[in-house]
Amino acid sequence: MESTVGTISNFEKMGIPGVGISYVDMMGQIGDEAIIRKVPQCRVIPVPRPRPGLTAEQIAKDMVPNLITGLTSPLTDEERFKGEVVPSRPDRIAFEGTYDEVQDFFIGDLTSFVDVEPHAKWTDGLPIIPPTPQKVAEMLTGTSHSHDEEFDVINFEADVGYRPMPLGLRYDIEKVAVNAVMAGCTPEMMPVCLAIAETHPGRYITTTASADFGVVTGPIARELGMASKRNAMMTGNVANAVLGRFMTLFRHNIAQFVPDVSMQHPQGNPLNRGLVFAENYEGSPWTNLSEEYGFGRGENTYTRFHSKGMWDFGVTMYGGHWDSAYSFVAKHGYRHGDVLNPAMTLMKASGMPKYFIILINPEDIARMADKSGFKTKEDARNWIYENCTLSYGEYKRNFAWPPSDWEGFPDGTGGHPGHQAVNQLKDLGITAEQVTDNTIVHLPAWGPDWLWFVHLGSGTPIPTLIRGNHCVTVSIDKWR
Amino acid sequence: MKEVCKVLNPESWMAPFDAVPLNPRLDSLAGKIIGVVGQNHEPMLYLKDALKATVPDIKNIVIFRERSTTSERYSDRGGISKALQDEVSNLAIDAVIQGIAH
Repeated sequence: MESTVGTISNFEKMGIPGVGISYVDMMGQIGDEAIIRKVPQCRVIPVPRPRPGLTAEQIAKDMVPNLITGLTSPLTDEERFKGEVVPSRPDRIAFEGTYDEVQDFFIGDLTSFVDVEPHAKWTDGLPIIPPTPQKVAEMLTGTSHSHDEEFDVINFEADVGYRPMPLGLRYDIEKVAVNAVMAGCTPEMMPVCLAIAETHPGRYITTTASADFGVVTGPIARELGMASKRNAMMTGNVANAVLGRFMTLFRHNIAQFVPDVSMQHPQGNPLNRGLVFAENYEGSPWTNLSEEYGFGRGENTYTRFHSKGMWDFGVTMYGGHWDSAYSFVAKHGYRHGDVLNPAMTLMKASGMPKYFIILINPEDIARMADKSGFKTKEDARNWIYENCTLSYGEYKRNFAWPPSDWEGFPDGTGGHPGHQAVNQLKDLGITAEQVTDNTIVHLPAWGPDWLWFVHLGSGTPIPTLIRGNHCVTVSIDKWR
Repeated sequence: MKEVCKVLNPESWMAPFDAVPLNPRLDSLAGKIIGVVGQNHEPMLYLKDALKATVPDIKNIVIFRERSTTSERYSDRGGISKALQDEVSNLAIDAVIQGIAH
């Protein structure tokens, strides 16, 4: 949705009047996006989606009168307004009441949801720890930073490589502490909460199954009792659970995420319930996330990842053990790197094969370094990129969104997720005239750098593949 | 539990911002050049003909192949590329319609 208002606001800023079109069920996002773009009165025409009995051609005919009105009807006073908009700031104390009344207050008025299913206002739907002034003050002892220190709000239009905070929202360290208390965190976790907050796990404005997950790297994970080994992503570990919940509450209350408005994926992504775990890199010959992003191996960092969906894949396909896997590939004359074939099969089947994360335990990595020659992450990354291929025809049939066919190569290649293969071919210097359905396309479609490895788990060699990407890695220690 | 407690507000606040006003609208579409950006949903394929049928004296309807982008490949995330801005300026487009995005 951001592209509709984003485009119109760009043209309005250029001095060209514009009007957008949106499916009617997406209009809830329009108002937010218009404010983000600082064009709060942006004109957008709602239209129904095509359905049996209502063709796309009829929708086009029906929308024309509204488009003409949008481009010709005189501006209202509100649309002409030029100047500073100063939204009101909420009171510091939100409510006073009994424990039960506080719980009800944070859930909010569920009867106000008429056309959509109800969602709690300031919680993830579960009861919270009441953020009393005393509890919040205790939480603030977990950092040396001042309670009123504000975070830098990233400009939405800046080239930050990941989704920043929406709406020009402001927040300070006390707001982080309030949400940390609500989630059940301890003061010792406060530096991690602040690092999570610094990465702005924001409100995705999207119809895709977007979600964040976070990884804590470094000795603080052990100090906090975080899980990084077998079942680290499961429930039951207190530190993982409350830090994951903090991320969710941050998204709801500070990023002001609203289900059904901010994100409109048909099913939603369960990772939005909040997933944070520790990196298990002991014994691995590869760099951990701290090292990969400019910190020392023993420095504490928090990494924010964006994700869509996840699948596990096993070298168990080769008999359940690394030895049998390597025996198998040797017997059949396969290459040793082919133990990663199951991952590559999943990449090809992932729907939008543009970027991936592999969660893999350090024993598997050590074994691959020894047997497959993957001494570094880059070795494995480059091997996968070289060997995980599709024909352009296969890619186009399975992955490109329909417009690529409507618009044709190379014109319709505006960076839409369906067109990474075309962009890749351009990057490789392949011209439109040279492309055939047999031209080879590599995955991840954006290139080998768009594949990340995270040390996680222990035991059975079953890594997990996630369709997602690295957002940012920040220091935890700076928040102590 | 009957004990009464105060609780702090967990919500962020919005920074002041300078609102950009809309540009004056056109008197009519007659004699005007209209740009259409964003062709990735099927109703958009029929818009040009529908517009022409309703406003036969429209001067021109220019379909821009480059759609607005949300891709990480572009720094102007969610906006429009410099190339598209230049193209729209050079063609003296009078008004723009952004097609359905999702």
